[in-house]
Amino acid sequence: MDTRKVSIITTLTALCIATNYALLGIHQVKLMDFIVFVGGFYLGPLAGASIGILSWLVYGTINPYGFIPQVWLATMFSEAIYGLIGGLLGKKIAPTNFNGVRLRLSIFFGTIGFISTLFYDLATNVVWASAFSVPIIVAILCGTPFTIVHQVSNATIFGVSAVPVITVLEKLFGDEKVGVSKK
Amino acid sequence: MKKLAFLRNKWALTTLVTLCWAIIASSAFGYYYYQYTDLVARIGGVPVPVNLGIDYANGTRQWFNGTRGATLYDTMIQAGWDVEVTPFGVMGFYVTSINGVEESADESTYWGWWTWTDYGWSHGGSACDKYIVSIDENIIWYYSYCDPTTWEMTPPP
Repeated sequence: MDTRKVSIITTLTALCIATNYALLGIHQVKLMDFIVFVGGFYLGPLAGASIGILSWLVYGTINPYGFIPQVWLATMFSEAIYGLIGGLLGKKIAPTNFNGVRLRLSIFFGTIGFISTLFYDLATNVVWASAFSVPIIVAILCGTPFTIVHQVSNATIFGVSAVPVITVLEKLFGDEKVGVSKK
Repeated sequence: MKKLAFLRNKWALTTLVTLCWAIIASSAFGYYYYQYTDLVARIGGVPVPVNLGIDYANGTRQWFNGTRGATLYDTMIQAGWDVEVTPFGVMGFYVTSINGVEESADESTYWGWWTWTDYGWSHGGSACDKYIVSIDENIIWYYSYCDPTTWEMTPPP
């Protein structure tokens, strides 16, 4: 892994942690998932996953809502889902011109944000239920309001921001892209 | 652009969006169903007074006004009736006999319950143990003739 890639991973991880603390007052609405996704999209699945894991490594241990080891490990590795999905999508569509399909691509990214959040919430709810000896189905059902807010907010953030941010990154890095989409 | 060709298919996007909507709707349904069943299980239903009647279709009609219960079946037991039922799982109880008067397949007479509305007697839509009664509701059990071809039950007079 080259120095440039490491520096981008570190910067995005810091951005994740900073935005998480900044948005503490707004439950279930976080920019971290999107940043991890974009990191994966641009740097590749492993780098994206590492951004998610590193972010939770810090944010999870110094978490104002408390620290539960099982839940912390679950969130840490579940966050990697966004990076992995972003990385796999990046491999498919990163070098492509978005002109003419921006709106449709926004809808597509929105649904990707929604579905990846579904998996994230399912995984963390199952671990939370196991940690507190709560029936899994009860944990999933009781967490539904939080899950829906999380999914809808992520769908909105992914849908609105993905295309502009990826376009800006394309302009910034151009041929100097690192990771899987390196030309 | 070949890599984004799937985005040209509007049905693919529509399916994705519909999938998201279906997940939200199903989750909300599960959540509220759980909350409802949990609440009912915690409080065990709230007994309310109803006007409960029984008509044997032989000129005898009795009323048990102010009988309390959470479900129709509760009120029948509270009224002191001798009720025989056949349980059908989650669908509830099927009443085969009340106070010794059994249904008769030969004569096509069966027990059915009816609730009074502005338009007259309206046939009950669920099993008696599943029906949550309302305050001062007028409910009557009628030993009515059932048309064997249409399964239509004769309403109480």
